[in-house]
Amino acid sequence: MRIGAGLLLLAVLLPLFIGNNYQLGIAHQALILILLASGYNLLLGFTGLVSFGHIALFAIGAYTSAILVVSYGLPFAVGLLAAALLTGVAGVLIAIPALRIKGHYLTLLTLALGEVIRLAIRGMESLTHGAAGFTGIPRPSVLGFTFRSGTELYYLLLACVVLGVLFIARLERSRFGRAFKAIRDGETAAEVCGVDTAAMKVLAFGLSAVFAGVAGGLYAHTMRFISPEFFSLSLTITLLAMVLIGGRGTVLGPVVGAVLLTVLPEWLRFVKDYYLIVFGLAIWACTMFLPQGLMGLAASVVARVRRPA
Amino acid sequence: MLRIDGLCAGYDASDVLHNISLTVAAGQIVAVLGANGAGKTTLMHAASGLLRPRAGAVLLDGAPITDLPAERIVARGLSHVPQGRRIFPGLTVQENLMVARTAATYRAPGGFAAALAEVRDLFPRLAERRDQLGWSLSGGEQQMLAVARALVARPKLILLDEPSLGLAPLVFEAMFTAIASIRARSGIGFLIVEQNAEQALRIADYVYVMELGRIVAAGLPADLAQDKAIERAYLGA
Repeated sequence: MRIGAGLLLLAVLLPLFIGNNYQLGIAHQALILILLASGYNLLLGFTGLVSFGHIALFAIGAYTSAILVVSYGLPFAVGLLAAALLTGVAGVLIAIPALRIKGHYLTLLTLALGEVIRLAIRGMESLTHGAAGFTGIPRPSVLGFTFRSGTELYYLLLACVVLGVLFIARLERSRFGRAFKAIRDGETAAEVCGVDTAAMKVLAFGLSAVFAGVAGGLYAHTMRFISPEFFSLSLTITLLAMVLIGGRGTVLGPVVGAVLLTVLPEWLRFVKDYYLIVFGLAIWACTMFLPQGLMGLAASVVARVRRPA
Repeated sequence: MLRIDGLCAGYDASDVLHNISLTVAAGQIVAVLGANGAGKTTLMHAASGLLRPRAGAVLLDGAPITDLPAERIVARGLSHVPQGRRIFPGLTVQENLMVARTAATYRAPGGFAAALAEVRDLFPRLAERRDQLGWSLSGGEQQMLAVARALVARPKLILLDEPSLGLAPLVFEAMFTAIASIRARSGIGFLIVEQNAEQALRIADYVYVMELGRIVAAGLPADLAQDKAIERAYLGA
């Protein structure tokens, strides 16, 4: 709780210390990815379901809002809401085969579904402009106010992130959050405890998809240009790394992971694409030594300081 | 109360249970004894909805529950404490108990709070460990938590799979004493499968002996305990 408040204070003050639009752009990306990773954590960290198709949901959200706002002239709020709903429905549809298969097979199935969705987006040229990408997406505008400057946009994204993270913190303490974790810790045990595991898995997929949809919609209107290539497998790996390194199954883990893995490649620019090696090593190290990621490490350090052995 | 009638079950190509029939009357403690591989755990899974039986019926209070999914069977009042405890390691003791709440928990007088108070009386250790994560509990405490979780659902009958597994003698003796006292206090029946015959015979009202997926003997514990042939053949004593 205290860590969360500290992070929020930092985030609120950050634009005062950011020198240029380039850095502000990175902050925008980090905020959107926090939302995406927090939703992904509902599946991976809370419910223990490893999906590799999550980026496709992010893409559906981005394209839904872009198409509705640009091609059909609907307001941004409608586009974003539609992105959330449609992506949520897509998440529930993915969950249906997921009820029948488990473990690696589920991961492979979601990987395939994700690629199919990405190729479909590229193929539907009349709607999505195909591989050329979708340009000219307007900045978010709510009730006549357009978030034109980088700072205004930053605070809009931050507000969405705060709402999303608070929702997850509340969910964790609810019967749904406990049921998700029970499924992760032992599906058979959850069943004999009376948990409707099928309904809970569908709910986890649906909620995480809504997060991906909102993040996608915000991404489209922040970047103002989207193309199918952005929503590729390498982004899936990055997303996985964010949750694992930050701390799966914790509320703030994906926040820390998303910020770290958005900013780090900028600092590691001199090593070019080799930063993926760093990601890979970090994922490996976390699964071996920090199963709860950096937030788990922080929690155990706090516990040790408070209660010296 | 619980009647299992001509139950056949198995996995893929192999049949494990052959025509099993048994009954547990209300408030009775019934033990199913047998060596490793006799099909005891399969029997539990088939009764609690984790495994779909191939033939036969499971009746609770006369109503068939054979084809219901596991979570619906819990709601009907038949709880299953699986082998190896299967507590949730990433949830605290309290959260483990909270997950196990059902509509019946709240129908009972006093609701969840009353259930927690009962658990505290039975297993004071669990109350002390309330906010600890499941993985940090000892084997005995995990077994207590697994039984406590079943109690929270306010069942009529509990299926208890190898409660003595991996526990020190003193600890599982205490476990069996707790089971007897749960029955005495709240009239909950138990169907216990065990390899450890001695403790099961001590608290059971009736005993079945299983071998290779069939019931080969049944009787009162006192009779079975004296039947040296059965003891030698099936109980490994």
